[in-house]
Amino acid sequence: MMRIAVLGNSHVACVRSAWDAVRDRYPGVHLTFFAAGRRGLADLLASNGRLVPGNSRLREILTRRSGGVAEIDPTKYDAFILVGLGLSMRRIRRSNYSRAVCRQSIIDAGKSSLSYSIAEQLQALSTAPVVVYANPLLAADESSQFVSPSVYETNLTTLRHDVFAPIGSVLVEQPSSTVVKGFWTRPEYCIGSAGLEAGDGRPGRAHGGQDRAHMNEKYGVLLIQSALEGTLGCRPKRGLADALPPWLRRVGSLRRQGHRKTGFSNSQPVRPTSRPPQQLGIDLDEHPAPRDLSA
Amino acid sequence: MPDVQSTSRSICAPWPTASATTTRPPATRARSGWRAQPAVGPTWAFSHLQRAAGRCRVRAGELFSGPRPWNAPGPSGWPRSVARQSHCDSGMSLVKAERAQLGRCNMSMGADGKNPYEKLPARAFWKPSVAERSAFDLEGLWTPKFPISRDDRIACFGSCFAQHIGRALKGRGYEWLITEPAPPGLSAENARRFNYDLFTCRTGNIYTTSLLRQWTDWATGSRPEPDEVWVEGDRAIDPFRPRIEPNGFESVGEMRQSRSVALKAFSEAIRTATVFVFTLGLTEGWSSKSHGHEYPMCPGTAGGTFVADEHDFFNQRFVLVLSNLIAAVQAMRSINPELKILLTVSPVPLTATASEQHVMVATMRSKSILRAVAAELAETDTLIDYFPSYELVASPPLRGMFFEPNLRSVNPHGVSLVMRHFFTGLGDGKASLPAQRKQRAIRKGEASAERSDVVCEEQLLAAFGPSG
Repeated sequence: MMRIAVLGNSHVACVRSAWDAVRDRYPGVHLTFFAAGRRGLADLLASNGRLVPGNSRLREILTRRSGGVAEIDPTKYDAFILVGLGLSMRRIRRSNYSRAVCRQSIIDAGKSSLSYSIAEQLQALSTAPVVVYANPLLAADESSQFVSPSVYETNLTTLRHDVFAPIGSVLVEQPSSTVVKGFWTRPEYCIGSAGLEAGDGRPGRAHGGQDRAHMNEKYGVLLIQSALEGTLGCRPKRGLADALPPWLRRVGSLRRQGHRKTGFSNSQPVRPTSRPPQQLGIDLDEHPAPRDLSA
Repeated sequence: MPDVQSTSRSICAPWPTASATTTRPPATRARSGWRAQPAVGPTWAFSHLQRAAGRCRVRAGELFSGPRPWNAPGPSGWPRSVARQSHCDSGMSLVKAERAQLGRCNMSMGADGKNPYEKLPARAFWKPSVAERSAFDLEGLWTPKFPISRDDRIACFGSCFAQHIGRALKGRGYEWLITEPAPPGLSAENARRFNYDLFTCRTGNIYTTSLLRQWTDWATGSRPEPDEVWVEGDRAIDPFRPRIEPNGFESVGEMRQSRSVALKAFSEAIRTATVFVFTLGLTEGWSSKSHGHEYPMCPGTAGGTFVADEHDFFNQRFVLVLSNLIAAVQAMRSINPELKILLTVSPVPLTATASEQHVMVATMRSKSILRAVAAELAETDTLIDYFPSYELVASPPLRGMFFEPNLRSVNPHGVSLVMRHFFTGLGDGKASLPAQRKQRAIRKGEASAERSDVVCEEQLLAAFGPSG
C-alpha cells in the first residue's frame, strides 16, 4: 500500500472529488487529504518531526477533511502531493523587463508561496518525494488572448530548477491537454467547479460561472493520473477507462462518437454538486500519462 | 590619470562656458527680446550670471526689462506661472528692484521707532533657535511655499539621498509616484538590487543638473539618446545607468529596450506628477568628448573602459549648474506647465574628487554651489521650493552626529530627523502608525537594513582609493 498525503487549499477540491471517482483504479494507493482554504496551511508548524496545526481552528478543519487525522507525520507517508497553495504562473511583459528581472521575479514569487514553504518543511522532515502542482492556469474565455507557450515554459523551467529542485521537490506541469492558447486552461475544466468539502459529507459550495480560477472533477482526474502514474510511478490495476464509474465511461464513449462540447463559454448552469453528472466529456484515451519527471 | 585641466569645457553648446563668468560684461547689452539694465554696484555680477544662464526665471523686470520667455508664454508674453507672480513693473530699474526686495523682506524701519531686528521672530536669531536647543528640538526650518498633500503625485529623482524621501513619503501614506514598477512577485530586496522603487523610475542616480537636463532632453525628444553601449564579455552595460542591472543586460537589444522603457517612464513621471522632488548631488562629472553626452559615473569605474582621449572630466561652476537646472525645468514645464518642484541638496559628501583639490574642499565647493543654485531658483519662482535637508544633516550645530562612522553616509536617525522636519513643515507632523512603527524599529537598532537600502553608485569610487 502506497500512502500519499495530499496537501492544498481550495485548488485541492477537484482532486478530492476526483479521487472518489478513480480510487478503484488504484487499489494499492491511499490518499489522505489535508486541506484548508487560502493560506490556512500556513499555520502548520514543525514539531517533534511532525507538521502540527498551529491553532485549534486549523486542527478542527484538518481533522474533518482528512478523516480524523490532524497532524501530518511524514514517516507515515510514502509521498506528498501539494496542490495550489499560492504557487501560480506569472505573465510578465517581457518587453518591459530584462530576462534577469523576469527570472528573479518568478523565483521570488515561487519562494514566497505557501507551496514552497510546506515543501521545504516536508523535505526537512522526510525523504519521501514531494510532488508539487501549481494553481491551474485561469480558464480561457472569449477575451483570452493567445500567449506564447514559452511564457508558461519559462515559468515551469525556472520554478523547477531554481526553486523546487534545490529542496528536492518536483514541480509538475498541469496536464498539457488542459492547456489552450498557450497560457490558459480549457474552459470545460472549469465548468461546475466547487469548493472544498466541509468534511461532514456535504459537497463543497459551487463556485459559480464567474470563477475561472478553480477547476472541476474532470481536471482532478487528470491531475491524479499525472501524479500517480506520470510522476510517482503507480501503475493502475486495469485500464483507467475500465476503472471509471459507468457514467464516466459512457461520456468517453459519447465523445468518441462525435458528441463533443465546443466553445469556450464557461457560463454553464452551475450544478450544486462537485460530482459532474452526464456531460463530463472526458476521453482518457486522449490523455496519455505524462512522462515521469522524477526519472 | 584623467585630464583634470579641462574644467572650463561646456557640456553642451550653446550652454555658457564657465569662462564667461570671469569676464566683466559691458554695462548694457541689447539682445533680441530682452535688454539688461545698466549694471549698478556689486549686482553686475549677478546680472551677468543671469544673462549667462540665458533663461533664468527671475521676476519680470526685477533684473531685466522686456520679455524673456521661459516656458509657455501667458497673455503678457511671460510664462503664466511667472506672470502670476510678477509684481514689479517691467521697466523697473535694478536699484528699484533691490529696494523692492528689501521691502518684501520687511526690513525697513517701522513707525514705532524699532529697528528691524527688534521685530524679528526668535527663529531669526542663532542663540534661541540653535545654540540653546538640542539638535532634535530645532523647529521652523522650512515653511513650504506650496502645500503638498496626499492627493499629490510626487516624483523623486536625483542623488542617493532622494531615495530616502520617496520611501518616507510612501511610509506616510503620500503618493510616491512610481512609473516603472517592479514586476509582480519580485521581492523588495531584489527590487532594490535591480534598482526598482528607488526613484520614480529606473534612471539610476542623477547626480548633476546637467544629467537631469540630459534626461529631460531625451524624454522630450529635443536630443536623441546616444547609441553608446559598453560591452563586457557577453553582457551589455548601459553607460547612462551602469549599475541598473547588477550583471548587465544579456544583449544590446535588451539594454536599449530597457532604457527606452525607463525614458518612457521618466516622461510619464514628468507628465503626471504634481510635485517633482530633485536632490542635487554633485558638480563633477564625466562626458564624452566626441558626442558631448554625460556619464553618471566615470567610465572604467562602474563599467566600461576609461579612454583619456575620449572621456573628459568637468567640474561645473555656478552658472552652468544653474543654466542646466533651468533648462531641465523648462523642458519639464513644456510637458507639465503646473509642475511644482522641490529642490534639496544631498548632505552626503563626495566619495572622491577628480578636481585635484582635497576631497573636503571639493565637497564644500560642490555643495555650496548646489545650495546657491537651489536658493537662486527657489527665491525667484513661486513653483520652486527648497527643503533644507542639507542643513539638517551637515550644519555645524548638528556636529556630524547624523553621519555614519565613515563620516559620509547619513544614518537612519538623520534621515528620520530630516523627514520629520519635512512632514512637520507640511503640517503633517504626526506620523502615521506604520511610520511610528518604523521609527520605533529604528530606535531599537533595527535600522541596519535601512542603511543598506540606499543605492549609491558613487560609493564605488572609494574602491579606487589608496586603501580601497
